[in-house]
Amino acid sequence: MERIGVFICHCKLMPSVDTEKVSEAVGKKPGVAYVAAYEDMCIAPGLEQIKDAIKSERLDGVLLTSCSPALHEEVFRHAITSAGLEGHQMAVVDIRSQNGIKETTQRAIEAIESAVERLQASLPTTTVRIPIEKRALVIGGGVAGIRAALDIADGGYEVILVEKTPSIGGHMIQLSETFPTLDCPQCIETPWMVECGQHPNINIMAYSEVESVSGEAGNFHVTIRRKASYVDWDKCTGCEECTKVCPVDWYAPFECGVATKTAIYKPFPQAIPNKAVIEKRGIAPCRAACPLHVNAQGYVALISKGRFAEALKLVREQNPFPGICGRVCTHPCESACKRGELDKPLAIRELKRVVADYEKEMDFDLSITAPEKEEKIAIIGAGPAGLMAAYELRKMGYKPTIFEALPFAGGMMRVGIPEYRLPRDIMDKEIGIIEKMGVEIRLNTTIGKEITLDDLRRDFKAIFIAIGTYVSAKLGVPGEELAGVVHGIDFLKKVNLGEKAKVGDRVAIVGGGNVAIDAARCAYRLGAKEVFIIYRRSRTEMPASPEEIEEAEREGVTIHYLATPVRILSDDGKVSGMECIKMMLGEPDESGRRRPIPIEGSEFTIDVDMVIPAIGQSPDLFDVGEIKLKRNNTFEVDPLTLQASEKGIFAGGDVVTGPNTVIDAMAAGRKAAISIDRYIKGEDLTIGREWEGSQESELEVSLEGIAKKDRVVVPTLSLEEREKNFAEVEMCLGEEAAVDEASRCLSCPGCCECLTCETACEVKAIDHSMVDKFEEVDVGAIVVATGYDLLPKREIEEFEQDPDIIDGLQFERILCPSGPTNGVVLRPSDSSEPKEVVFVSCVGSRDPEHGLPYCSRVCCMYLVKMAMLYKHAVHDGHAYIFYMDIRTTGKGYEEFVQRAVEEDNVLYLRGRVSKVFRDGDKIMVWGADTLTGKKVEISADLVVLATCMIASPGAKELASKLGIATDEYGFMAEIHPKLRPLESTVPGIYLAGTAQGPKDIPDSVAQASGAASKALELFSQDELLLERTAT
Amino acid sequence: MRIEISANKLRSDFVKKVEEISGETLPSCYQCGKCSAGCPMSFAMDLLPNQIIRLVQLGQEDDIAKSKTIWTCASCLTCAVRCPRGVDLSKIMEALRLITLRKNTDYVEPSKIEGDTIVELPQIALVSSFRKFTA
Amino acid sequence: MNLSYYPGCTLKTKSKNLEDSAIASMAALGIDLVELPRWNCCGTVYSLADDDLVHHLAPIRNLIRAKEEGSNKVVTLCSFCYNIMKRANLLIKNDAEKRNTLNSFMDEEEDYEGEVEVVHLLEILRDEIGWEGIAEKVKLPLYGLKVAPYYGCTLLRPQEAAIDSVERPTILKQLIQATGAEAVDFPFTTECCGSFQIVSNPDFVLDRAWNILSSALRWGAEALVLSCPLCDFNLGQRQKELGKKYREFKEIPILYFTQLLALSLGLDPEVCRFELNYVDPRPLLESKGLLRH
Repeated sequence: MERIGVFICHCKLMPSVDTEKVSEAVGKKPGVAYVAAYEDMCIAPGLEQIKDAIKSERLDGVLLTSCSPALHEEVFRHAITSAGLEGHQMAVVDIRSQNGIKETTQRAIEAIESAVERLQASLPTTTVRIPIEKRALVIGGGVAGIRAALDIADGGYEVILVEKTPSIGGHMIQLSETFPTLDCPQCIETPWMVECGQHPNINIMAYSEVESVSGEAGNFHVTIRRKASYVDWDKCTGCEECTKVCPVDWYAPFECGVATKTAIYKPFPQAIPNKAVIEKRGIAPCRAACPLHVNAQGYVALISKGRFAEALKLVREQNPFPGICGRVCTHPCESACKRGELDKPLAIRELKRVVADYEKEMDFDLSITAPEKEEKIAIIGAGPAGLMAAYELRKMGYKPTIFEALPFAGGMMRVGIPEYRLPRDIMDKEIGIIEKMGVEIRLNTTIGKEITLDDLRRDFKAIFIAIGTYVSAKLGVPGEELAGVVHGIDFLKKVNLGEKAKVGDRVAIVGGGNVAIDAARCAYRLGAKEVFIIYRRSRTEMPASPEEIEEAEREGVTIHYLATPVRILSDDGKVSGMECIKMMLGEPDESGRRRPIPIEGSEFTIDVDMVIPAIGQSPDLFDVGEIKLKRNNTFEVDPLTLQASEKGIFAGGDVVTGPNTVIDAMAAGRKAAISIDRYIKGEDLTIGREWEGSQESELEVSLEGIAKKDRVVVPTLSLEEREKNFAEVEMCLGEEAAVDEASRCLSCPGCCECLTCETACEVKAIDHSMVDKFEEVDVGAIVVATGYDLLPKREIEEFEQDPDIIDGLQFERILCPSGPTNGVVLRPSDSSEPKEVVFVSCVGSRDPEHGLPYCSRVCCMYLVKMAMLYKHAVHDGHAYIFYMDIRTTGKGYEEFVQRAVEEDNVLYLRGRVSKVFRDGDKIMVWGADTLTGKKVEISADLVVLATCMIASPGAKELASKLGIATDEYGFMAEIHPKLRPLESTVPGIYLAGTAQGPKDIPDSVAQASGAASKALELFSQDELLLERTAT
Repeated sequence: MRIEISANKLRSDFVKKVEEISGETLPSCYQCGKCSAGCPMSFAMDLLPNQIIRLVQLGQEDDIAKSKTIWTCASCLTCAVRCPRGVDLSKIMEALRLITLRKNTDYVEPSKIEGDTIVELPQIALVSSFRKFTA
Repeated sequence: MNLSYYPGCTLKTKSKNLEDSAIASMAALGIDLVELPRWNCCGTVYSLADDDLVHHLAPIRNLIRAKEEGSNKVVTLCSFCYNIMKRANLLIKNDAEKRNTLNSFMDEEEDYEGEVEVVHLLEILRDEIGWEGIAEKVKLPLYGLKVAPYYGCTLLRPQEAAIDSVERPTILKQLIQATGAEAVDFPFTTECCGSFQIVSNPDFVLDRAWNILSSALRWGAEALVLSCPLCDFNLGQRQKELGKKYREFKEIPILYFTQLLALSLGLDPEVCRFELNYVDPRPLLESKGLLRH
């Protein structure tokens, strides 16, 4: 450029610049042909002067020195282009921001000189015409999103309304009544929602989220994730037959923790879309922890609804022995139960026993759907491992044969576990099912005697060895060979197989496992006067089930911890006593347990006439030839497949692990069956087996706001009733107790996959295998109306976490006439009617130290509204509001507050609250009334906290996907807070409602229409004209 | 009763002294009352903690001198940790006490404490009491 | 392991039970508490005046003693001592101007810049040994004993000196649980006992003691555990008066956390010096079978 004109503005707002000096200096710059100073360049006369100068001086470049280009650049550009120049022939340099800095003149000169050079270097541009995609995307289906969508749609353009919850309506639809009109929001919002649903221009994508965005104004390309609802919405009619049968209760966000919904649900009656959705977040910890993956959550949920038969059917899908396991299982499910982190785990095992007992007449489904197979399979051992393997193989169509050495099937269940824990008829019936299905059990057949391993190798395709461990470990102390010393498993065998078992008067059992406890409790029943257990570690290390240890103690068994026998004393060839030594715990050994170390000189003697060592067992193994064994005669196997070192031979249960539990043996049985089936088919044994056996669920569950409740106490026989007999000690829970206990379940993942909804749905709309889908859309404008959330109460630590200390949305649900309590005001902890309700303002807001510094804007109004509604509902109740200020800036707001004070006697106390905590039945509130200068303590029944309004969860992530800025608090940032509150920092993306900052419904709706008009403005053009550098 | 509010009172030596000794920004307090609400000794105070700081803001030295509140304070710091504006009221209380104490006026007179009491009390009680309430 | 240990005056006289049980239980846990030589009174209360430097000398001096011993950490038992030393230490670290003035004033002492860390014994238990580490060494689990944790003020306020969350602390609860006892939460666990008002206004302290103790009793506590000799006095010694004033008041034994710890570690109850407790806990412990003879 040869002829640049420099125009210097010196209006009153510009710093004082020596225009003569500047003109002189700048005029010398090569390329500068004209320098002039004008007052008020930005108004019409000033602009005219510039245009005239361009023409008269034949300028080919214009440099304007003024304030920030953000303010007047558009105006200047318009002026110079109308004078015949092009966009790139103009530049604006800001010399005003230097206001106050010394030497303004010199700085102005420097700024202008470098701006001139920049201007000379600027490249010509061309105008590019971009067609505008005249379709809008509205993100967020609350009242703002709905209004914006309707306005744009009514304006004649297509709108895609994306909402992440299953229905549009936002928070407004959760409210009880809105201030100051006390309109019912369901009544005023649903017409708009219906309109949205029926509008030909609006496509509602509910239960969906924006996944990614690219492009720019007029041409955005958006990928939307349609979340799996597990319900086909094309088929679903919203009839809610499914919700009637779903047994699961979970704390759906819509009810804000005040009430539960079923896992398959419609959020509320007027939902749009009016469709069901299944909340399913993963696998329940109990179900994952069970080595057989019995659907524990499922059957507990069914029990909580009194549906025992369905529950039993569900158990039997994975476990053929519910009666047995419901009595003796070591319940890994209970150890994983998340409720245990709050109070105590659910009594899942007891509940299994309940349905097994209540529905014991219910027929077991013996049908085999798989085609019958030829191959023969041998199973050695009719214990839980062998029986389970046989059951699984039979279901696959094979016909396995079990070889059992004893005259009875059952293994350790029969031999080891006494009748008072596991009645024989229950066991016989369940084992009998295996035979009824067509499995042959050859009793009295010992491998190595009646038949050899080679015979089996010859006649059977595969062999599963599950013979357990029946050889008692020896104490290795003098006197062990005496007649009065009977080893644990031999003793139990005698007792449990109905042989004559005698006990002495004073019996000592050595050991701490379940065999030891079983032996002790049998000895008690057989008439021993004193029963001792000697265990070498402390109670915390005892491997026996804690329940068993407690019952043994109740029955009078004395347990000596930290002691071990040194020798067994005899008198006349009979056992007369046992010398023991005290131990102390040293460093951990390889098992991780602390090694017991004898304390020198601490020997003591107990008088006993019978000793039962029960310190471990090993397998009573036949000759296995070359097959690899570990020490103790247990099999070495591949842990993933149970394949032993010889192909086609598998081993599982105690014979591999050493003494272990029934459920672990059964899991081994199933694993072996899967391996054998694959082996026979010639398939790979290892692929896809990670889920077998006990797993840890990664599910996270919030325990916030859930009241503690005691675990059910299982009734047992009294001591008198137990004496000298083997009647079952633990009694079955009553129906009511079972339902009550099952109701404690937290429903960790939501849906339990019991599949009853599938059966109930008449249009077959349910599909549990659904996955998230993605849809791509092109839009020209985006309106962000993602709404708000409330600061979690736990952030304000001086207010206790308690079910009766609730926030605004929770109280709205309680007050709402169509809410979970039908508008009857009941407090969450005990459903009693609260007579003293305290409302606390400014919780986490106006609190720069611990919370957020800003004012949350709507709380003053909604608290007084709630107080009023509460008083209308509970006439003899009292409402108190602690406040700092009462902010009533909207139309009718001040009058509304006065009405509450004068007509409904709401008492305002001016002061913030320092502490809120429970004391017995009441919630104590410590506040102040600064107007009278008194500290105020109120004993309330219910406390409502007005927690600060914050940006909705996920807002920051969404903003980053859109490329728009958020402010320091996470709200969407407007490009100018005073003049352009509806525009984000990216052109074409507009803001509406509480996504931009706290505000009430009238303001949200107004903004929504405003944002819509911005979109319509964009769409009113045919093309977007953009300046791009000409290449 | 009437009080005088004027530049004299508001920027008096008293107010400046309180600001200097405490290091706190008095105008930050917006009189929410949370300090009073949580103060464990407020049951025994004639003026509440928030009223004390209000009186300082208004430069009313005499009213504070007539009150027993600053001598009932136990320096438990509950007010300080809960103030939403981050005002450490315990330091203001200390400053107010020191303004009197530094004039060589004791609130607690060690020589008047009974011998039995001295023997009974743990040392930290005596030392802390003297530190807080004597010159 | 050795740790520099600052006892403070009261631990050598009225609260010997705190010191003895602490030293014994720490020894059982493998830590030797080595008393600082030439220590002086810490000063008890941290001066809250910005223009006051002279009251910072006492606590800083003790830290210099620790530095001279070559320690980078000093452990305290008394909550008061902990609070003043921790805050004085923070001042030295953060305020260069005051640091210079203090160091120049203490011209006969080594310069000190905050090289020594001040910790309370509870922090050592939590951070260095760990609750599981303690549970492993527990020989006499205190099953059946319901203990309410009581923090008072100086362990948790102000925030920068706090050993745990200001409003929702759990450190004492975790210690109680590690010993096998049952921790009883109650709402007044961090409420001030009245502190030095016991000298000038003992009636106020009586009121505070009533509020705190009656709340603990209502929530099912059988004993209270704490760390501060002044809280111990205010809540313990005043119980006789409380009994006279309120008929429904039941005496409740108050233990130092180290006494609870020592007992659970199976140490001889003699080291706990229960005879110095204002309300004798021995009848209660006996009734629970927790006093080994």
